[in-house]
Amino acid sequence: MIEISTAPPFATVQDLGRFGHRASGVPVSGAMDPDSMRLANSLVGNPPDAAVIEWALGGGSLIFRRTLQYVVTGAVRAPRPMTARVGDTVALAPPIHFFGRFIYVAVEGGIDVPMVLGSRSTYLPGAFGGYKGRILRAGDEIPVGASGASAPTPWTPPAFESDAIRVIFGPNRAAFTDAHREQLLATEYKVAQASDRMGYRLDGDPLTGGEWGTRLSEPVCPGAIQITAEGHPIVLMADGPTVGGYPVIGVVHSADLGRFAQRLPNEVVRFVEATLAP
Amino acid sequence: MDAGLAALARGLAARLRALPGVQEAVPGYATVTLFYDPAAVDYHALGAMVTPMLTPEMAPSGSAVEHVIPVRYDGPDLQDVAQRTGITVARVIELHHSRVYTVYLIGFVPGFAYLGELDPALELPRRDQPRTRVPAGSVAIAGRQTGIYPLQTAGGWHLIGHTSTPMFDPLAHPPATLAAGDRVRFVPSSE
Repeated sequence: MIEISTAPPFATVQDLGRFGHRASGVPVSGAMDPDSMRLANSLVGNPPDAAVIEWALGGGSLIFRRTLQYVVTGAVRAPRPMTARVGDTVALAPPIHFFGRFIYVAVEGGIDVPMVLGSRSTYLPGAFGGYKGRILRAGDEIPVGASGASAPTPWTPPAFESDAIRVIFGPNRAAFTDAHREQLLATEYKVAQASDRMGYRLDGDPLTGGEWGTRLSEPVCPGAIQITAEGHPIVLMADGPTVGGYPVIGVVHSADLGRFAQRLPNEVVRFVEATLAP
Repeated sequence: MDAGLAALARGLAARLRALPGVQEAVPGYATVTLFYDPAAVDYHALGAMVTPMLTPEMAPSGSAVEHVIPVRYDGPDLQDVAQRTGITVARVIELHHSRVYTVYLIGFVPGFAYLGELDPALELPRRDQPRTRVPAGSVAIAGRQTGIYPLQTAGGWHLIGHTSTPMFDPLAHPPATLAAGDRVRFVPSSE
């Protein structure tokens, strides 16, 4: 078990997400930056989908009630697996802005909160999953699973050639023209203040020359780039709704979504077109 | 909105779930959205399997579970709805519960069912200013649709009543009380 001694403003338990319940309107949830989560698990010998703590907006500290390996990845300078002994208090620095907005704390054995609908991820709007369906607070005693026998085998996150975020156009192709798609690729966006686990609004010149009222709602997914009636993009994120009424011009490539999620308010975002291999 | 088309979508979704690599098939008003594992099947191979299944002879989904949901018609927008539609409160209530609705889609938040079609006499656009907090159990209308808010959330529909029937329970299987294709009847209640 580990105890939250000092909590940051925003920390939740997450795994790779909750699948199979979209028809009931249940979002995927899960880590905003799954690459950093996988890396963290690999460095302490956990399976890739073991639950971790996603931590943002500040620093804090943990008290270990068991001797455990742990590691912090994401918006940190260099992840380094460490061992905490029984009774140790481990201080965690806030995410380093240069590297992003989320850090991931993995402990050997994984965070062992009850599974809800096949996942340990917290879904805050529904107040279920994770630790009692809520953000972590000082004094919370977080259960940790039995340590596995597997030796740490560092996983290598994919390398990226550029800072641009790949987007696959569609599915609502007919709602947009090629000129709109070109505008999206040519615009330098900035992540808006209004950005959270549900979705990131992007500030920038609006797309013009289209009529995008609401339409009959249809299923959407994390990474979907909705265009509002005013021509502004909203990228749906892990806790985003399963259906939406705005047209979707394209979807962020799932391999780039974690990198996109790490962008802070006011950081620049540029999109580049990716195609599905024939 | 077309009940026949939505039924075709549900029937198709049920069959598409059996294809290799398909993780989820979600039916909507006039769409089926497939979620697949790109490591198991690629876009073009999946497309080649799906296309022949899109025939005019597609069998619609047969299932039609009927739910009866008691509603206390005392929502904060009831008077406003009556005023804006030019009919009495009693008539608004009567028109709302005198139809059997079809569940077209579940989403927005877990367990939220989009039900249609509402009587045209009750058709209103969404509120100009969405509420930041709509209580769980609120029965609401907008456009030609009606629905029940399963959890407290923001919302822009007109609130005409309240039900104590739970719409979502994460520990139940399935977690949502209603499923696409189900039928819903509302009955006035003093609960």
